[in-house]
Amino acid sequence: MAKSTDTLTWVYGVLDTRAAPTLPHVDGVDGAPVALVERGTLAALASEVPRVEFDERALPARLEQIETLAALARAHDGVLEAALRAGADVVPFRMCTLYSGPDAIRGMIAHDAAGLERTLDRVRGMAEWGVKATLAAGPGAGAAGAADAAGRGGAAGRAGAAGRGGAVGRAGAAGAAGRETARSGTEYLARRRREREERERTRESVDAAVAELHARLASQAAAAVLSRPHGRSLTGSDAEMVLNGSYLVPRDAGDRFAALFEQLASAAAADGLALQLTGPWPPYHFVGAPEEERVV
Amino acid sequence: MASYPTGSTQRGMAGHPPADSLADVLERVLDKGIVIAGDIQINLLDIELLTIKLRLLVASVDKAKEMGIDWWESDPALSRDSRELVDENERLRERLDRMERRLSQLDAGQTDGGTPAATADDEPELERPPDEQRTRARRDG
Repeated sequence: MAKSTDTLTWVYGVLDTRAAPTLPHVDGVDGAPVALVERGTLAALASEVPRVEFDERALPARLEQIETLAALARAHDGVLEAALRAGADVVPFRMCTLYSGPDAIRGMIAHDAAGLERTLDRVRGMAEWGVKATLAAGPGAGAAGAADAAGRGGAAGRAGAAGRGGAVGRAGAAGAAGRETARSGTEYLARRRREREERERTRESVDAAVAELHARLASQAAAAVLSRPHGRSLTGSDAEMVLNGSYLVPRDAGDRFAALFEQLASAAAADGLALQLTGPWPPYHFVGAPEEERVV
Repeated sequence: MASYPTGSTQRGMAGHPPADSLADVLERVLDKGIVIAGDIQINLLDIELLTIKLRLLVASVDKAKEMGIDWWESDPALSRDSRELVDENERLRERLDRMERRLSQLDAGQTDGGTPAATADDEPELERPPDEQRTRARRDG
């Protein structure tokens, strides 16, 4: 990789050259060829990018374009995934890790070698799997929707409409409005209370099911990390995400983990939970300092 | 060389259609605890601010849905380092949602001759008076 003042070097991650397989040809960011920048027994997966588009001034602005952001993220992930598929052990770096050139990268590797080796030891032979669980809008949610819709005719309905049932209520309003009206304020309030209690019971059983689910998945993982579930406002769905977990699993146990997932997915359906499995991913969630990982 | 077993759950394979949504990818390539930054420093704060700006840019929920974008909701770097920013952003977004809803209700109200009270149905009681005033103002103007 020639050093040039017109280019910067994008680093995807660092791998162990002692266990490095022949990497498949894969294009990096902007279609540039990916090469290894070696230092000792470690090497960075890297490719050159035009400085004028990627320096401190240009890049932040370009990242505001969703299409650019998406292309960079997918290219970054694509290189790391190719290395993973080839059997390499890689410490994935954060997207947009940029160096002035190969010399700077070698300097970084030399400086951080001990930490990189420790991280490599933890993720050696591993891949990351993601499991998300969403709570489908079930019969209970439907009842809450009808209640909200009925209540909307009175002041009490407005006062009580905020909160978890709100979105469901709006969704169900068209069909339910007018079908059911509260005969009196007292009766209406009593019904609201029963429905709230019912929702709370449902909530507790969902929480228990999710905790059990996570524990089962984590039991077959070397480490597990919980991320904040995606909010549903922008997923545009009434289905609420209740689990967003990442699991570090031996690569040769991927099939077993997937089988466990299938088994859990069938069982979770009874609790109204829809499960989604993604992977294998590079171990993105497991390359921080050990104390930063919430290992479960 | 180790080779990964090919199974039905591999990324990009059939059977898991939403597997590689942009949100999935972004939450991973942006969400990392490791701090090995390059010597060209793209300030992480900028990336955090970027998520805020993006959220405002992607005001169109349909567009965001289409692209599978809601990753800023789930970026632990955000929740860890800039809770306040996220909270503020959350409030802004909720306001935006309310405003959009209200606007569409106003539009509906104007086309079918609905009353201001009906347009404010979804909103907390406290927010109704300004809403009604604005509705009246629009009609008077």
